[in-house]
Amino acid sequence: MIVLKITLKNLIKFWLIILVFLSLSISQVMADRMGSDSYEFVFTNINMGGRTTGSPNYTLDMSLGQTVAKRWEENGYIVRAGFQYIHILYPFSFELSDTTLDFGTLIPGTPVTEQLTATITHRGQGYEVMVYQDHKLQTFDGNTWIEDTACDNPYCDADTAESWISSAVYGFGYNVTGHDVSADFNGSADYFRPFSTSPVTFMESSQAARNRQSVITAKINIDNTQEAGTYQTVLRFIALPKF
Amino acid sequence: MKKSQTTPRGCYGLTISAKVLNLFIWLLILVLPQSARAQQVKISVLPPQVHILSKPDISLIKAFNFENQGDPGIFSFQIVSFKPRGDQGNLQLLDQAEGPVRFSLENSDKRLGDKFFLPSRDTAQAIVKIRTTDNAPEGDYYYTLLMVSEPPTSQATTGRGSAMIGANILISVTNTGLTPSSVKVAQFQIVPRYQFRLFGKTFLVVEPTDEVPVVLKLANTGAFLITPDAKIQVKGPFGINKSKKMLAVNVLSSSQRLLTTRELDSCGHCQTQPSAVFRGFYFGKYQLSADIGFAGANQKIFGQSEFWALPIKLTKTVLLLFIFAFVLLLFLKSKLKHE
Repeated sequence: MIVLKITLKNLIKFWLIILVFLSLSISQVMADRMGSDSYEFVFTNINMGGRTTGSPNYTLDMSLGQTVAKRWEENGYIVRAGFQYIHILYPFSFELSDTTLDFGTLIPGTPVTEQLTATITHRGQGYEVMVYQDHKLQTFDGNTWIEDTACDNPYCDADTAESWISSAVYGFGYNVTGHDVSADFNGSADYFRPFSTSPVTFMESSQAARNRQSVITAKINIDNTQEAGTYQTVLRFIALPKF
Repeated sequence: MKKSQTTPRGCYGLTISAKVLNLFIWLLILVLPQSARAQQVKISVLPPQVHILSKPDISLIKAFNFENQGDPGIFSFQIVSFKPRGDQGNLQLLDQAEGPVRFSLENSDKRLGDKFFLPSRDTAQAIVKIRTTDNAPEGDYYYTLLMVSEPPTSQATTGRGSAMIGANILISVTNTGLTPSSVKVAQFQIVPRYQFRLFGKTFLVVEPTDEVPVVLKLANTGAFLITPDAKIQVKGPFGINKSKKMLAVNVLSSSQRLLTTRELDSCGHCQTQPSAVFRGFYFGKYQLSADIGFAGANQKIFGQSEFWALPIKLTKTVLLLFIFAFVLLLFLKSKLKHE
């Protein structure tokens, strides 16, 4: 026969066991957390109405998320940050190893090259990097300039790289090698495009990217009729996440 | 007395050597040629994209954090419109912000277009005030918020680099919160190795051991973006029943988008990126189906296609051998006849 002796010590032990049991059995409370600096709830329901709408092609039944609908009615707007397929927000990062491509003193018929590296990290699905120049390489007064390259025959253009090996072909252009580089560069260090005055993509992917790198080589070759002077342009590199 | 005399002398000696060392270091810095140090730009943005559903005549504020992880530099913020370009989520930036949405910065010390200094390892927050005008027509408007680095100055022949990083701002203006969609399957078929046209019908054919690349493109002809949730399935002889899930990406208004798997599938003979590639052994006629749903909607759309897996190369070889054997037989027969 078991005899339970009710003492203060036993009573405290009993309540401690009960408390431990309760704390273990209580399930986690799921709060309606709408966002913070590093995380935001990604709504899977963007339609606020509770009826059926349609178009000539098909109809859609609109469903109603209560919290979202409440926010819509109260504020008149809803903000969704990030991407549908990725629930944590990560920064999109872009690095240029150098911002000064100093070509030094140019000698006619002797090509000069300068390099920089572009690096992208993006956890979302896809990115692209574009480049354009403000104007041709020109003197400060803008009266003299170095032509953009047309490459060896066949000729290259802003969207299509071609071989540029001949030192008798003059101009200013760029080559790109590395990760996710446009196919027209042919994986070669001898394929060049002229810089365009509107953005042109040279590196892109439809996948998540981690430290994807490309090396951009800018090349100048002048002929002996090129006027002496200091020539400059601004090369603008734009990194964008795909939507 | 002795003690008090030695201590200051020792201190004095130390001070002298410290001064000499200091002078020596400064001389080294000044005299030795300094290695040229590249000006590096490393910037990041969070969030990289937002989608805002807004009624007309509403103001809201959204903050974007830009971190400078590179060298200290001069930066500015800009907002421009963009249009979807191609079918893989690329953007075409326009020169300025267009449409019935107005932008300004709520920061006390920054305005759009104004330059500001950002030290290394520091963060600049762009607190963007977004206002939809009261007569804004329903529909989508797309913008990119850019942080632009100021190019360095130089007196030499140079290409001066400027880095820009963008965050997409997708705005759907709607009075009711409803975003009616109009979408259709723009392309759904395999990338065939052979294509035959017989009796007015096109037959898409692959070799039995070929990879079978499938292309699924959706066209959004509506005024609002859609986010499809799609699955591609292959069914046919020998119990083949395979499926692949597509990534739920945005298809912007008045554009097409190629849907793909999360890990991009590639194939040897494809000229462009396929949506998915099915591998294995196929023989006979196969049905291809696409099951496309949309976030928050019960209704679905479907795509259907078919292809044949036939041993064309083997058939060609057997036929050639047969013709060769037949010709040889005729030749031997005529030779025997002459003899």
